[in-house]
Order: sequence, then C-alpha cells, then structure tokens
Amino acid sequence: MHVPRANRRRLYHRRASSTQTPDHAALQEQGGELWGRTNRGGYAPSVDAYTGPLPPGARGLEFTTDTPPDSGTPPHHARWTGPRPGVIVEGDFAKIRIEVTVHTQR
Amino acid sequence: MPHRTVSPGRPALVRVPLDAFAWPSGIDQALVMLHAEPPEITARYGLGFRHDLDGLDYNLASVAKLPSGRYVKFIRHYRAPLPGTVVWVDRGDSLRDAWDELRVVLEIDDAATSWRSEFMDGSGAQGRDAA
Repeated sequence: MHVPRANRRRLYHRRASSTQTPDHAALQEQGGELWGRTNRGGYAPSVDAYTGPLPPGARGLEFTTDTPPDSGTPPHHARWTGPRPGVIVEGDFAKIRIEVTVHTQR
Repeated sequence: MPHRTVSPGRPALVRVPLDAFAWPSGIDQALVMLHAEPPEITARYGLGFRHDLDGLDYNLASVAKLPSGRYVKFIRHYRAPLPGTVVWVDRGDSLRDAWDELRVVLEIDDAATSWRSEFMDGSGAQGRDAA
C-alpha cells in the first residue's frame, strides 16, 4: 500500500485511562499495534485517538502510523475503521500498526 | 449558541438511556461539533448527561431520539483539546437530513457549530475511509 510520506509524521495520542493502562501501553509499544473495541451502541470496532502530540505532562502514549485515519471526524478525533488497507478487523477488535514516539505511562 | 429558552411548541427531543439504543449500521459518524457544552445543553433542552468511557477517552454523553426516530448522541470528552460537544448519528444516515432535523429541534443554525462534517452534502459514509 502506498502511503503519502507526509502522513507518517502525523502524531496522535491516547490518554491514560482504565482502558489505556500501563500494561496496555507496554503491549502497544512492544507489539507496534493499537487495538480498539466497539463503542457503546455499535457492533463495528474502531481504533480511536486524539490528534496531535501528547500534551506536556500528560500520561499516555504518542504515536505515528502509516495508516491514515477515516475522514469525517472532528479535528481533535482520529478514528480508524475497517476492514481496509492498514486496518485489520478481527472479532471485536480493530487494529492498526503504530510506531510509538512518546511513552509516559511507565 | 445563544443562551435562550427554546420555544414551547418545538419538536420533542426524547432522552434515551445510553444502554438502550443501538446504531442501525453498527457504528456512528460525526455530524457537527456544537459550541455549547453539556451544562448548557442540559439547561436549555433538559437533556441529562452521564459519565462514560469510550474508545477515545472519558466523556459526558447523552443519547436522544428525534421525532423522525433517528438517534443522536452528544459527547463531550473531558480531555479533548477543543471545547464543544460533538453530535454523532448513525453512519448509514444522511448527514444533511440529520442536521436539517436537529437544527429545527434545537432551534439553532450553522453559527452554533464550530465544525461540521465534510460529508454533510454527501450521502453518508461514501468516501469516508482512508482520507
């Protein structure tokens, strides 16, 4: 799949939460994958993240990916749904490949 | 969104428990981002919000049913870098039709929004993926 070079440098982040724990962050960094479940009221899973770098002092994970997010989301919200190139859907999970750039959940 | 009372005879906005609705297509799509924050929406329309957690982050959320029967979900993520409340509808829905109905029910216009989906004048999810 050809991915525009510019997209590689787009940064996204997830904030620490009960579903984004230090264990999750470690797995995401080691495995190079970010997983997402189905949100309330739906049956199609998605990977969701905030756009832009992790805010200074915030706990979470900052990453980049070769897979562009879906279009049609608010400016602060990136979402990946599939299946499509770069977005794998397996059971209740959607998955994308990522490269972690900042990890502050250790 | 100007702070004023809605008309007594406006179409009803019926709150639906978060656990008691389902998107017909299985997933939602963003419609607009309102300038209004949940407290203002509650004060003006009587729509209560509940603390929730979705795939993005912790949030305040509320689901309502419009007179047509379509669901709309209002979400404000606490840690979102931008202010405002995002309105989501079913991905199979027509964004234009949904917005036309919602703005009548809420008695608002485009000035009440800080963002509107680029698919507003399309037909739902066409061309949605892989921007």
